[in-house]
Amino acid sequence: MIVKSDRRFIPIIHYIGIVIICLGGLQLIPLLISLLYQEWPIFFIFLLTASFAVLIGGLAALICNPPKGAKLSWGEGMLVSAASWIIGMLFCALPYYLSGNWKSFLDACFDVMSGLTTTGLVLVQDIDHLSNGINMWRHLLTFVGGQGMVVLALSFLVKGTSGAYKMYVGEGKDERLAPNVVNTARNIWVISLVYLVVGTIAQWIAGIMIGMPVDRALLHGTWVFMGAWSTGGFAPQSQNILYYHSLLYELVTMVIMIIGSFNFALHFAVISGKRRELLKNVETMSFSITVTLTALLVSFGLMKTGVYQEPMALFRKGFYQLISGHTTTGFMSVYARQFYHEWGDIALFAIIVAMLIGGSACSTAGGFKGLRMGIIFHTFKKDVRMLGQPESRISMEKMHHIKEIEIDDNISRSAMLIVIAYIITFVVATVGGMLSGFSFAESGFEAASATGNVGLTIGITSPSEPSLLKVIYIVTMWVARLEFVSILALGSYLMARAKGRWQKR
Amino acid sequence: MKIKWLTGAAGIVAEIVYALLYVLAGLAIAYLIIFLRT
Repeated sequence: MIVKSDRRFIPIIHYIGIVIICLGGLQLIPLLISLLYQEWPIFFIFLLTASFAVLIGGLAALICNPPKGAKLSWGEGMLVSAASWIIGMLFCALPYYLSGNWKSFLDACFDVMSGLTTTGLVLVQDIDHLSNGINMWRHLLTFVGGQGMVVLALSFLVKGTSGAYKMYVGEGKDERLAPNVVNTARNIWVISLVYLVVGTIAQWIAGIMIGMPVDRALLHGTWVFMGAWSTGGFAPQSQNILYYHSLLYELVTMVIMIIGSFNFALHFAVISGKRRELLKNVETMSFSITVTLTALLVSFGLMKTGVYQEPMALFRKGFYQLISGHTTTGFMSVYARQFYHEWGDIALFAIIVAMLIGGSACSTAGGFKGLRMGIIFHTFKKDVRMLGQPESRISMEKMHHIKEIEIDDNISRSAMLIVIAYIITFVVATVGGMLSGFSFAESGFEAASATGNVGLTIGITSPSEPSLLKVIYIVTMWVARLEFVSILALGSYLMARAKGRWQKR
Repeated sequence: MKIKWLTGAAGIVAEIVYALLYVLAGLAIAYLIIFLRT
């Protein structure tokens, strides 16, 4: 059944309402933590904001209940995803703002978008004295954002699959782990929850071994795991990973960051028994090549500046930051201004490139994605090979990504268009930084961090940064996380509505 | 599709071992660069 055109907004609002209900329900977790630690002001804040989100989301879903059998078009599915992220951001910012730890509602929205997009740039004031409830909310946002809000809603509250795949794709994923998209979403959650248990235990043990009290080690272990797995980079202390001063803690996070940046389809293939996929997959091959090249460049650049004289220092600072940037996590084992004052142009350039390339498609990571690097490489390889062949000869190029895929013109064009869109976004964010008074190197670094949803900072992101730049970075993080198409669908819908209203006059 | 627990666990171990290879590579690069410098 097709819903009449003037009521197309009904299913859109219905599904956005479902996403808001999920976000409200999620607040039960920090609510329980606040209760456990007797953080009464925070407890009541979450009680209020969770109830508000469930109430508003529930009303929207109930009032705008689409007729049975109504289908979402591609544009509408993408619109649900794009709009859910913006509206969800507003609801999720309420606990932050009411807690008093953020200077303004805009700062609260910035940190929410940074968490949901698994970027990791922060504006919160005095992280070191945040309540456990608020810290749990921060890290939960990044954990959920990595999987996807729509994926969360699909897993638990969406009945049937009509339109579900369109919403799923609108959130920047298109891999099917199961024939049914709802089961695909559930598989993504199962994988993440299994690793949550394994990774949290590993971080917990590491925390105990460095002398933390057992309960604090568990909380920190959970939060740091969430930051590493989601490649979000949030940490419970202002010094980030530097706070722990522990090689063991850094090694565990490095392993989790790398695994967290893998494609969920790769995870599913490997845990299904296809372990060789780790070596054959175009994304892991691309990642290994780009990590090696950028690591050599970073190490060479740092050697030239002479800032790290020992191999272990070079490994714990240089290579760790490179992995943190390339997986788009954003954990920092150096202070922000050290990038600007000590790293030098070569190492900075390598980190910027690594941040922009990013991790794998259909993962929690950002950036261009290794799959697109592989597609572009194979496209060049095919074109170069065709130069030496007769015109009448048809050339085929294949790559291995779970299965053999033939690189045709559509795939090549799609990959290149998205990469171009990323580059344009990066350029706009860089120009925004320069217009705000920062240098080219600083602006470029911070723009790459926002565009790649990385979270490494050279010092620009702070509560005192210009509000316009905060808005630019919020939009940059949002469009890059959703990979542009759903944003364009939202823009197109709004323009069509405005045009329709204009013409009616 | 049901995944056997043992197969799944072996897969997780494989991913951890694979990630550790990157860590080893990073160590090797750091030692190589410092060695070349000296």
